[in-house]
Amino acid sequence: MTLLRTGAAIDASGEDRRPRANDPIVFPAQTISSMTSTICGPPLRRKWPLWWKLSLAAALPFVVVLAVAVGWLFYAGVGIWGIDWPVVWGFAIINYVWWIAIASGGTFISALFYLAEVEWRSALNRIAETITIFAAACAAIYPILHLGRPWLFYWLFPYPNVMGVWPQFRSPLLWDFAAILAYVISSILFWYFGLVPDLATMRDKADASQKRRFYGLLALGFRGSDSAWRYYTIGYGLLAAVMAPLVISVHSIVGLDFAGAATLGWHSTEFPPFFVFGALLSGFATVLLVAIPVRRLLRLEDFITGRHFDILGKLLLTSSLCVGYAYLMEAFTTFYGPDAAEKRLFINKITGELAPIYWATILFNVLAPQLMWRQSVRLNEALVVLISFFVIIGMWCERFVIVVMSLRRTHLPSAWGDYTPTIWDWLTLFGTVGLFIAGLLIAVRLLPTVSMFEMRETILRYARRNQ
Amino acid sequence: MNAIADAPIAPNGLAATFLSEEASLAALADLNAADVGDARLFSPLPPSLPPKRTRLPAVALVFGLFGAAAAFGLQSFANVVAYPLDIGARPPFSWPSFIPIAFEAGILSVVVATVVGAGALCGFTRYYDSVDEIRLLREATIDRWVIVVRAPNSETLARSRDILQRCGARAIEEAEL
Repeated sequence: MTLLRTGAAIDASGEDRRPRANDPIVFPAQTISSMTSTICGPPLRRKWPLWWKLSLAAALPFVVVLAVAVGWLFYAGVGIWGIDWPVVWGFAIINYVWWIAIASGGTFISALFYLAEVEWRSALNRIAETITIFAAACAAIYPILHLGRPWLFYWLFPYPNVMGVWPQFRSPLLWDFAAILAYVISSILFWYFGLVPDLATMRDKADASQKRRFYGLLALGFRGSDSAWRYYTIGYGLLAAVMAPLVISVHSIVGLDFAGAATLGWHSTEFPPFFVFGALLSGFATVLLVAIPVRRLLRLEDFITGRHFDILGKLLLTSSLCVGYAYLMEAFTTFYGPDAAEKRLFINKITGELAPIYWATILFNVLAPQLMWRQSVRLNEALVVLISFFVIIGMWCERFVIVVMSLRRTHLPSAWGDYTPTIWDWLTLFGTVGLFIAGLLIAVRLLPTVSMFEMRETILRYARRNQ
Repeated sequence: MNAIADAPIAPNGLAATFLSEEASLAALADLNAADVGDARLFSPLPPSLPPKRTRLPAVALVFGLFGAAAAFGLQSFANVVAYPLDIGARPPFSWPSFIPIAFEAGILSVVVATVVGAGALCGFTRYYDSVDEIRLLREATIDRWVIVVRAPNSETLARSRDILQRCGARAIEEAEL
């Protein structure tokens, strides 16, 4: 494929592969053989492509920065961050909620749409699940770091101890610990279980004995016998059936972390669904943000087509409208209710010194995605990347609004305070971004980016229809 | 040299590749109808065969319910018996507060039971099988449907070969299974 100056992607056959409205889910020229070769190509290639080396070289310094920031935190304590009374939850919680929402979008695509038997899912579910794994890993770091004495994190587990102390299970914060633990373990198992047949393909496609051994070890001896497939599909269906409610429960519990506290702006029954809407929005935006460069760089234009852009764009728009509805309800219930402090806080949000962050949230999460009403925008890669990026920034701003703005303006004006993040807050944030990107790059280099066994089903189904 | 070890072993199996699922399923049906022995299909995607009856969903459900009940019991024990704390005058047995963790534990138990159970049924970690010696089998995870027949005697083996050829096998390989 060569890239023309106009931005048009032209494949080897000379065909224009820019996303188009009438694109099929998979182009009919693709057979299961050609698809397998295309997907297996990048991981089995001996030489590492230049774009990959440059991207990893750019991401790794951030991983080092994260290690330094975490190391310094372990040595000096949470005083290196900008948190203080009354804003005791700062970047750590903002970033945690932001990352776990990004993770959730992947599970929605891989589990919920599997149950709904949607065909377009097969091209994107591996990318979505990989995003889930690394975003959940980034999210899981923060609550541990935020504990103050992170090396004692195991005190969160209920176990008999000489102090005779047990965790307080009536706290939503402990529910959160259980939810994240269950989510991270389940996501990794679901991802790996889904990878096994493709790892077997990689094992059998590899020429080099070292690679054959590597993928053979990971493939766990899967050979694709009729008996194995029949048990495998039952197992995969079961996992999808429980992953879908799990992801909704996880985000509802994250919402309850806030709603459970008698804090202004938080104590609302709206929070669990509001957080699920936010998770959908940031999840779909991240999948688009990752899928677009991956599509170009790994030459997946025949599998991730205009149809995928169109559907994901509509999903992004729908979830943006849901988030917009939640913002509207937040304003309505504030002024419908009797609490003067709530009203004062809301006015401070929209007119105070941090109001630009609130309005950035509205702009990026609600207004910018409205462009997706137009199909031409949904099919324009540059605009989709831009809108998705806006949404990712907007979702971070939303968490800043929720965490910081509520805590700095409590019921008692005498207890008001402020919050200024330190360099260590920023370095930890950018460090996890680097960790996420480095993780994705390593996954793209080593593993098939598209679920091949599911894509074969889609290709054959299309071929039968066209006969 | 050991003469016994070097003696040729008569093949007792066959492997045949097919280009389509339809052809392979037709061949498999013919082989089963002819009662030629153990015939297995290896394919690059789940074959369109009727689902097997398995207790896996029931086992996963039992594990899930057990996990949820155990988590609920542990929370009740911890907050009612072992370490009762007065938090805003809430009763120690605040059972609605114990539901979220019980739910998460139940889901996690289902996931672990499913992965372990399905993995065991699929033969995960069985790194060697005599069918691995069949060269054609490597194509089964890529783009071919491969039928492997283990025949009890040479007569059945010959019949199997005829059936596979008649059904349009693209390549046939003899195997020692």
